[in-house]
Amino acid sequence: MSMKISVPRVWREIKAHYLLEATVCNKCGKIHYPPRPICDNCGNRNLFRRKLSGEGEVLTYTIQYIVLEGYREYAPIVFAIVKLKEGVKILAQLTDVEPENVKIGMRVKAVLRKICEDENIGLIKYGIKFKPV
Amino acid sequence: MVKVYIVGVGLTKIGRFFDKGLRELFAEAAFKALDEIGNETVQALVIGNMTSSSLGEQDNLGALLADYAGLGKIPAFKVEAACGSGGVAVYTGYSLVASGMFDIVMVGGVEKETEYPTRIVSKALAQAADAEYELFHGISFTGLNALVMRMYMNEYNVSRDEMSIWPVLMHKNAVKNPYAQFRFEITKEQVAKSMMVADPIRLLDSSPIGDGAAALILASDKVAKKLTDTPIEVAGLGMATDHIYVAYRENILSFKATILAAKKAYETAKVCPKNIDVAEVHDAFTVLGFMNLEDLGFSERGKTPKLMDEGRFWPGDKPTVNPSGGLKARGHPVGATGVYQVAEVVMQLRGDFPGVNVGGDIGLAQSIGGLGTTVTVIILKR
Repeated sequence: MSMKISVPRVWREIKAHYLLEATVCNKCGKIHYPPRPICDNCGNRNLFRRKLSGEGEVLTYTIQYIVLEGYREYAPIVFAIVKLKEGVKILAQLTDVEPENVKIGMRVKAVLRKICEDENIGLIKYGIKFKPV
Repeated sequence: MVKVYIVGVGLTKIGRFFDKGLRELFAEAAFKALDEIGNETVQALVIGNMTSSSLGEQDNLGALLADYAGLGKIPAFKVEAACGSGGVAVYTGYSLVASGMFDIVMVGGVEKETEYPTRIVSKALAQAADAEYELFHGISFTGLNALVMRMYMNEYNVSRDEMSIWPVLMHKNAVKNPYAQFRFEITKEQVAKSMMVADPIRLLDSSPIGDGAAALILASDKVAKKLTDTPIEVAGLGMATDHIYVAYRENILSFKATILAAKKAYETAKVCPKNIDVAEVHDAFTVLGFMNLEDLGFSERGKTPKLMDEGRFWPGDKPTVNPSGGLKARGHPVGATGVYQVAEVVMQLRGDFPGVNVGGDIGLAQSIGGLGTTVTVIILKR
């Protein structure tokens, strides 16, 4: 089975995935990641885009041993929910760290890394991962 | 609104069946349910299913199954809400009868999962999450639940062995259930030594992959009594959804959708948690079992593992939780599970459940799609 990576599908979310762009409500200030077109706090549709700091700490994590089709060469993979300085929580992989050294509360920052590769035609999917600071 | 009763149920055993596909499984459950109402004609069919498209290459499931089971050229369609598809199918079937549109509706649930390697089935199941922002990173559904389990254990200071009481009790309950996938007991030691899937979730914290089908016949008050001597009333139901991107939620250790769906169900049935005699809850993973009991108002936050270890929620307690063995041991044929739960509670209240039967007057079934993303709560009365 191929990965079936679609170029436009990754491309249209690229600012959120590569730059960690969120949408911010210009009325109540709530920050939304993933970006959304309407504020779920106050119902305002007037939002602007802002790049997030990418700095935060690990709220919870898992070391995933049984991985999905297309990820076997990367196993085991560490996933975490990271709480950024801005208060926004993000799900991503952790990188540049041995799984046994990961701790709740560990300080991390976002880096751009390869997520996976299409098995048939070699397309590479990139995204944000977090590494210890 | 028209009062709605459940007048017939049918289940298949859950397991790996090389000789049965979606259609054979469904027909087996449907025929059993139809036999309970003397083969009366059903006027519409609602099917709960998640993976017929992603694994079975089968869309248009309503028409296929209505045709194969000989239900005629009736309105028939599938509803999908990931692992919560079954509960949503019951919710939809209820609406068709309560609205006065039909008097007799069949609600089915069917899933065929065992034909492919685990990593392919896992990919299909992971589609319950946000494709662009969760699945994008390669996380499995077990991985997402593991994030919650670690947080629960850390926040409430619960040990590995304390968590293990859930799968131990579920396996114990399932031994007598002829429909269950796993009919053997396990120990806390076995749970702690089982294979690590996504730390801290081990194999014996996880519901299994399995095939199965369930069917219910729903009827209006006008015809229910003519079809059976033991109609069970759908007294209340509620449904709610939550942010699919789990990290977006303010509180990750409680499912808002369960709280909202339960509130609506308790209100419409005019009951409260302490009135519930028997409950079937959605324990796809150990941690979910405990969280569900807390969100449904049966237990205090973080204290459930200890209470269960002391005998709370065991057969005979009020409520008895998952006498079927739950998703953990009865099994979890994804889109059929919510229909199984309702059928099991119906049989508990009728007094003819062939496993651990605790009887009672009021029962509850909770079904979840995704990680607390879509929840239905259904309350039944004898």
